This record gives sequence, structure tokens and C-alpha cells, in this order.
Amino acid sequence: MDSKFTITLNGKEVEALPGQTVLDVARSHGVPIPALCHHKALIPRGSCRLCVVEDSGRVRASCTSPAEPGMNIVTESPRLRAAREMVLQLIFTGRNHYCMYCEVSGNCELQDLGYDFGMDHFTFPTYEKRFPVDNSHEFILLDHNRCVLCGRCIRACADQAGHYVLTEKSRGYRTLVVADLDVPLGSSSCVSCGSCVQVCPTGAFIEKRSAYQGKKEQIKTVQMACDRCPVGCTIDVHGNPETNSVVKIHGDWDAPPTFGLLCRTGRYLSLFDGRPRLTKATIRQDSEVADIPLDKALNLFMSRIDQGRAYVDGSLYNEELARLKELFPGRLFSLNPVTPPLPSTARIGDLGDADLFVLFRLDLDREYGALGSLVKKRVRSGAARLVLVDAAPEVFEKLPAERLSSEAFLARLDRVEGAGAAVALYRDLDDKEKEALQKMESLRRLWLPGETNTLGLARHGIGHAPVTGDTVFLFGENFQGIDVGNPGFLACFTPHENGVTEKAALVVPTLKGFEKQGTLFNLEGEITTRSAVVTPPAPLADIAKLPPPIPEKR
Amino acid sequence: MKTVTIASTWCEGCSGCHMSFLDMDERLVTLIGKGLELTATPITDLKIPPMGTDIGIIEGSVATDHHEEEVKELRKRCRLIVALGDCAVFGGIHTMRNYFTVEELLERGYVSTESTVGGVPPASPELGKLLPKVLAVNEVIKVDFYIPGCPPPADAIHHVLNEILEGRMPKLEGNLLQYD
Repeated sequence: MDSKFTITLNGKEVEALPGQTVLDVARSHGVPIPALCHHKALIPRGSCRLCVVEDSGRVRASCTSPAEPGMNIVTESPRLRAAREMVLQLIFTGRNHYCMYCEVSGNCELQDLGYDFGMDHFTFPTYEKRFPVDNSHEFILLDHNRCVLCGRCIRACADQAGHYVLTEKSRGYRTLVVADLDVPLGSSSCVSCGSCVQVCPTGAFIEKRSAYQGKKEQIKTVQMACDRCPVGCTIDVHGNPETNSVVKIHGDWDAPPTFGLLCRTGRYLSLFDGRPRLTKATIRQDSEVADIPLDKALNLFMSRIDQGRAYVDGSLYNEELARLKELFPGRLFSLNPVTPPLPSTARIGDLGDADLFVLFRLDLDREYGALGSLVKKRVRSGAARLVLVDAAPEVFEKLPAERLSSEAFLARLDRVEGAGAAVALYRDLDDKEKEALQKMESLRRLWLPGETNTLGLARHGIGHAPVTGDTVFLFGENFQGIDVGNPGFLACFTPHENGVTEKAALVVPTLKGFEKQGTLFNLEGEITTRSAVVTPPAPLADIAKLPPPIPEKR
Repeated sequence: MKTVTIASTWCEGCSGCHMSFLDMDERLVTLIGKGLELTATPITDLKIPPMGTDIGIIEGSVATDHHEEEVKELRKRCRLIVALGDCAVFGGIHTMRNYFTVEELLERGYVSTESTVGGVPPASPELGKLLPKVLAVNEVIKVDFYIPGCPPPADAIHHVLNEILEGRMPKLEGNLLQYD
């Protein structure tokens, strides 16, 4: 079978590869063809008709035309120009587009096409019919007046992210993008992965809490790994240096491990933590709490570190763990377990060719969400079966799955044996499950650690132990449900108020999230990086650099 | 020196486009030096342009029967008509009232507003009557040139007038063509 072949493109013979569309070939040779509904990460649909070319005199959409040997393609002609201008006019006048106050003005693919075409007036009547605005969702606004019916959102939600929430109803100009069986987006099965917003070429889908916080030219983008869970998706962090804030988080369609897929936690919750932020160090004597300067707090801390034990959670970066190991040799422990019930034998990439998934007590819509997308896509395409062990009925309720209790699963392991490429995903396993999985060589295993840098804790030799002792130091973000006992001296290094800070004798506010830089270990054991994008709201402690060089003021 | 006379008016507009016109600052004096002559505008004393005025510039959309009359009159009196700003060019932000009936608008604007007691929609015969739909200028008269923007940048307005004064047909592109 030949690999490359040639087509004639505007009179020139150019190379084409099997599987390429005419649009792909043209773009790979630097020949411009306008397009709107096309997106490099999505299956072509051919809805907008802007990418029309002449194929031996016949006008057709280049995005949905596979390149074939011997084709004779023309990309510019008066006939094509007239067709594209007509299409653009119909798209603009079909809905209600107002650039003057739109959040995406300056960053809108429809507007860019208008400018490219030199469009300076409408040739059809417009602004006659109102389309709905759906403001029901927590993070996402859907304004149908700005929709161009490109279908990118539908394709992203389905084929890319595996959630299959969005679809179309009605026909012609009345067509509307709807969620589930036409319910408000906020009441739908949407899991807030945000792929729809990222692919939308106009302002139809908008991130409500990011809107109007910086025009494209004011935004500075830094790529790093997400630090909300051990999957470590690659994120593009869009920050506004003038306001010292992170405006929004986007995915990168070309970047491993999840190639642009994100989840509600990484895309949205990482920006909107409702807990009060700590900006002052405090000391508690009897029941009196007083603010103290940071350098005094750190000196007090340093004066006590020879006693007691220190505990960390899995949110800390490797550099912070390394520093704490130096300060508390032999006395540094993890608040949460760090060892897997069984070690992984699979990688994230293996999810893409699995033919059976077994999930143990996991709701991948609410945690490790990007992996949930990979599993759902595969199951929805019919390529993989799904077994859910001990899952609540609402977990993955739209998917065809065998829902079994642990006992029922263990009683019928032959079901798994038959599959050639099965993957089990788990955070915890009980002894019977461990024993059974260990015996099944054909079943690959992907352990999902409970915290972001659990593997980092293990690599630094920091093991789990319950909190004991009279002098206790806690470092981290998540102390919920931890029993700290009743120590005589409790110091808490944390960015937010939480149940434990009220009991602590010394509270030191720390950097968090996008203020920190450093490295983490993801669940595959690879190092991922974080860069600081904003400066902290006040002088705060950097755990990686304890003690600080600031001398105590007299 | 050949003069180019211009007249202007604003219909359903906020006058922002005229402010942008003035934002040409001292370049306006240079254009006058090249032959530009202002006749009737909302900011000069003359209110009715003479027949045969070279360029009629219209800001604002057509929202009342008065506006409709005004733009038709300008079309008769001017050789070229230029639509200035998004409202004149596309219909603009006023078209948001097209999704309601005139009765609903008057009721909401004059009777059921939160701060009104005993409100009555004005009915003076001197007032223009709201058209059922706000229209772009090109839906009422023939327009020869368009300058989009909200408001158009002063540079765009200057470019257009300067090109015409120097005998060339203007073309808006790059930074000069904006919809916001």
C-alpha cells in the first residue's frame, strides 16, 4: 500500500498522506482556507460551509473531503469567494451578534472571519428573533444568540470528553444546542469538564467567573501540570499580571497525559475555593488569639522544631517535602496512607485500548475526572465493557455497566479472564480483592493515589502514622477529618481556615496553588512542574524555604 | 481648491461616533485645509444641509418615523451616504428592543418601571413614533460607505475622509476595521 500520494492544489502538485482531508493537505502546505466549525481535536462535521473549495469544478467542503490521488483542488476563485461571503452573511444574520460588549470580542473566530473578509455591513435583515440565554449552570453561561451551530461543543462533549450531554434539537434556523433531553444546563448530567467552553469559537459558551477579567492581549499564559489530583493533566494557566489573578484554566489538545481533557476540579474548583484565606500568622494563648508578624511566627516555630513530630498531607510539592525532611529528620509523617494496596501495572495510555474496565468504588465524574472521560469514551464507543464494583446507583448512571457488589464480582472472575485488555482502577482494595487481582495476570492495574503527591511522599520515604504527641506540626491544605488528639503545642502551616486552625497554638499562613513553584510526582511516577503565576496577597510562608532569611525586627 | 462638503446627523445614537469624529483633534484642521467643509451637523449651527452636499454621514440606527424621514432627506441632499458606527451600519445595540413589541416597551419603560408611580407613555404629537423594528440605515436608504465600530476609531474616520479628499476610494482594513 502506498503511503504518500499527490494532489493538485491551485495548479501545483503537492504531497498528501492517507487519512488527510483536503483541508489538512492545504493547511500543511501553508495554503489558507477559511473555516469555522473545524477544530483540530474534533471529528470534522462540515456544518459551516466556509471551507468550500472547487474539486475539478465541483464545490465541496474541504474539511469533510478525504484527499484522494489525482484530485484537482482550487482554493480561491470568484465563485468560492461569493459562496463564502454568502455563508458568512447567513451565519452573522442568522442569530444576534453584538460585538460591542461581548466578552470574547478580540478573541472570537466569527469576528476574525468578519475582519478577514472585510465584512463591513449586513446584506440580510437580522436582530428580529430572540434566542434563549441559559444561566442555570454554576460555571458556564450558554447564550444561544451567539451560537453559530458549528457543533464543536457537541463533538467535544461526546467524542472528546465522553460525557454525551449536549445535542441538538429542532431544525434549520430554529436549531438549538441542548443538554440531555432539553433541560437547563445546570440541571443536566453535565459534569463541568469545560471542554465545550474551550472549543466554542464565539461567546455562546462563556465561563461566568472568568468573564471580562482580561482581554487576549492582557493575558499571559503559562503551561504546567494541574495540582488538584495525581493525574496531573497539563493545563494552560491564563493569568492577568495587571490584576495579579488567574483568569481561567484551559487544556492543551496536544499535551499528555490527557490531551486537553480536564475536569471540574482542575478547571474550576482550583480557582474558586470558598474557604477563608489566611494572610496573618496568629498565636493562641489560653483562649486569646493574636496576630503576630510572620518573622516572629517563624522564629517561634524554629525554636520548637527539635521536639515533637511533623505531619504532611499530599498537597505539598517535592521541594517542600525535602525541606521538611531536613527540619524534622526521622520525625516526618504523612497524614494519609501512601502505599498502594497493589502497585500499578498499567499507565494512563492503556485506558485508550482497554476492552474492559473494572472500577472499584470510584466515581470518575467527581474525582480523577479526566480519566473518567477516557473510560467513558471507550465504553460509549462500544469498544470496552464496564464493571462497577460497589458503586452507588447514580455513579455513571447513563452508561451500560455491570454493577456488582464486591462478593458478586469475586464470585465471577471468569468474566474478567476472557477479556484480552482489561484494566482495573482502584484507590483502595480489601484483602480478598487484593488476593484476586494479584492472581489475574491478564488484568492490568492502575492505582489512583488518594492525594496529588502521594507518590512524592513515598519517594521521600515519608510513611503514614496517626497523629500523636504533645508537640505537633501540621503542613498542608486538607486536614478534614484528621484526629489531632490534644497536643500541648499544635502548629499549623496552611493557606486556608479549616477545622484544625481554630485549635492551633500557632497558625502560619502559607503559599498555595498558583503562588507556588516546584515539582510533583503524578500517578505514573513522572515528575510534573508547577510555576508561580501570581504573587501572594500578603507575605506568606514558603514551606520549601523554611526558615526564611528575614531577621526578627526589634 | 476643490471643496468636499459634508453634513452629518445622529438618529438613534449616543453621539459617541461624533465624539470619535472630534477625536481626530487637530487632524480635522488639516482636513479642512485640504478642502473639507462642514455644513449641517448636530454640532454646527446649520441644521439642513444644502442640496448637492458631497457626503452625508449618519450616526445611529433608524428607530422612529422621524429618523426614517431624516435619513431619506439626507439621501436626497447628499451625493454619497456614509453610515458611521455599529448602530448605523448594523443596527447596533438598540436592536435589542426588536425582540419586544412597541407596546411592551412603552409599558415597561414608562409604566411598570421600579421607580415610577402612575406612569403614562408619552403621546405628544411632536415625538417620533417608534417603528416596530430598529433598522440599520441600509435597510431604509442606499448607503455608499460603511465605517463600523462602537465607536469607530478616530483613525478610521480620518482615513476615510483623507482618502476621499485625496481623490482615492477608501478601504478599511487592519486596525481600522473594528466591530467593537
